[in-house]
Amino acid sequence: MSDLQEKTNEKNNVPIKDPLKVNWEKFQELQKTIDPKEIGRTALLHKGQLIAIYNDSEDAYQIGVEKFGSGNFSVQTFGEMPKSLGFLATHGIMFGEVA
Amino acid sequence: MPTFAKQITNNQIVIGAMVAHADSKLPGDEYSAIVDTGSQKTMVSSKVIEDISLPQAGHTGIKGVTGVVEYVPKYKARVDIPVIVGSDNTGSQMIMASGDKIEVVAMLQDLGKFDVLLGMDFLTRFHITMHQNAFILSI
Repeated sequence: MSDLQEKTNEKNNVPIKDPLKVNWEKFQELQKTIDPKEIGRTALLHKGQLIAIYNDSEDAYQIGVEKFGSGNFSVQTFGEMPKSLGFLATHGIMFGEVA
Repeated sequence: MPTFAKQITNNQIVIGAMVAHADSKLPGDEYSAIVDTGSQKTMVSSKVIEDISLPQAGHTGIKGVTGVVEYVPKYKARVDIPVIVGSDNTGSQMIMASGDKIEVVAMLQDLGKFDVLLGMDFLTRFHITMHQNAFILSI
């Protein structure tokens, strides 16, 4: 997706990864080695580092806002299943006249 | 119990939804929304994300009807449906059916006039009845 595009440092032309993409890559690494007892708990990540793991995703989010500011951290839940979007959201097709 | 009722037209439930930052104490701008009980996730258009600069909060897995899983950015938002309670005689007031700190993702497809798709993650926060072409949401 577009948000995952890498940005470029104009000064030395070295690619800089999107900070949240770095967090996502770190989380994927963690998922491979995570203790099964952490399934369902939520990781707070910042700049590619695991900050802490919380029982409640809302706690993780709130602490992320307080410590790093909105948009500067990731909250990721271990073992979370992909969400099904259904037909409308997938294809954007509505049959019949739109109300 | 405060209640919001809307006529279902052509088997579609179209309502106004207000979207703001997750931490906002006030409701946000109003957008046209469609209710979709077939989606587990609430979605917003890229226009909404840009309009209110929704902050990204990580990534999440989504799966369309083809079964292919994609990992996409997720955003934290506050999504409200305004509910008018009271009558002209007693004085009315607006309260919000509030989906605070809900995780939303960007729409995969443009839904034309709709900027918000209200999925089951939002709807299950309320008491919902669909009866005789009416959509009734109670807080």
